[in-house]
Amino acid sequence: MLASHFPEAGPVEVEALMYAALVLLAITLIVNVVGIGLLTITQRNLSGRA
Amino acid sequence: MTDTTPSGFSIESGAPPSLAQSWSERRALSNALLTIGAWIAALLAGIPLVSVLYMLIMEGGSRLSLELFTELPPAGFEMGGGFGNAIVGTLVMVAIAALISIPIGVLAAVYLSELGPNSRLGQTSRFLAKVLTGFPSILAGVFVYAVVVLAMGTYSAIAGGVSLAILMLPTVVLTAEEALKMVPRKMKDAALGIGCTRTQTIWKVVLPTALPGILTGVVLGVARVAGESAPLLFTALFSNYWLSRVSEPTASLSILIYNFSSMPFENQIQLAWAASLVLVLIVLVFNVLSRLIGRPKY
Repeated sequence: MLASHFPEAGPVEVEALMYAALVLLAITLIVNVVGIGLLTITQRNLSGRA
Repeated sequence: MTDTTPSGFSIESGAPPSLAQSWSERRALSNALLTIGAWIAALLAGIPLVSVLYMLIMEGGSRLSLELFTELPPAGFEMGGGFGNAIVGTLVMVAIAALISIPIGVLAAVYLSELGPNSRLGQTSRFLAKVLTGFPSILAGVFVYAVVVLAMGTYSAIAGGVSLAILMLPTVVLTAEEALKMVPRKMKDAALGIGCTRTQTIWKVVLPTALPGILTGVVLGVARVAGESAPLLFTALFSNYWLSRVSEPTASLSILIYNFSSMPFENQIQLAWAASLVLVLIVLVFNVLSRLIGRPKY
């Protein structure tokens, strides 16, 4: 959506697309934080067993 | 008289145990099955690359000629033409990205591995670099559009280079950090022992020793960003002409493929295939280079 709508977007559409980009950024951050958190917990558990 | 090993095998006293593999044993059978499974999985993993390469060579190989590298993209119904400006644009933007991300990335890696590996700043930077690795490339484009393109008032090779630098940075930081960590402790201690300062140790001992690993990271970063199209769509846009200034819209191979592949003209579609082949070859060359540089010398 961002790639296809951005070239022809006017000021109002650009604002809406910026919000869409913000949502995508939030999703990326959440997935990354959860992933890194899971990795840290797993590593801690494994080192605790060793 | 027989003895029994902890794993349950009985051996005759005095006689050495037989090390020959027996297929009747369950673990030997599962070992063989797993090995075959791993071979098949490895072959399957190679199929996408081989099939993409095959298709590109079949579709784009026939259009490869010298004029592709020296001529400008053709207009609508025009025949012939090339994408020399797109190759130059791609190389210029990748060079700008490398100029920005290599110094920042290597110095950040020096901090992460040598100066403050367990400090709060170090841990936060490492976390952010890891997050940036999975950052959608289109967001880098949107960010640079808001910060650079709107400020400059035009799409440009500089903005394209900055967006590619954002994507290249985490690869450089994390690979360089690993390379710096591999430098033996003894070498650093020896340098400090003969009176070197910490800065001298880093510049004269640690960085030269880790150079092959750092270069591998740089080349991998270049290979990653060379084929990016999404960020360039927002930052460099496209141009049908040769690059004369870095502050103007600039052509790139990935945007040329994006534009030409959706055109209703056979000539442009063939050019898109040829450009795809050239782009894949550029990325392959960078990947092979990184393997050669990172190969152990001894």
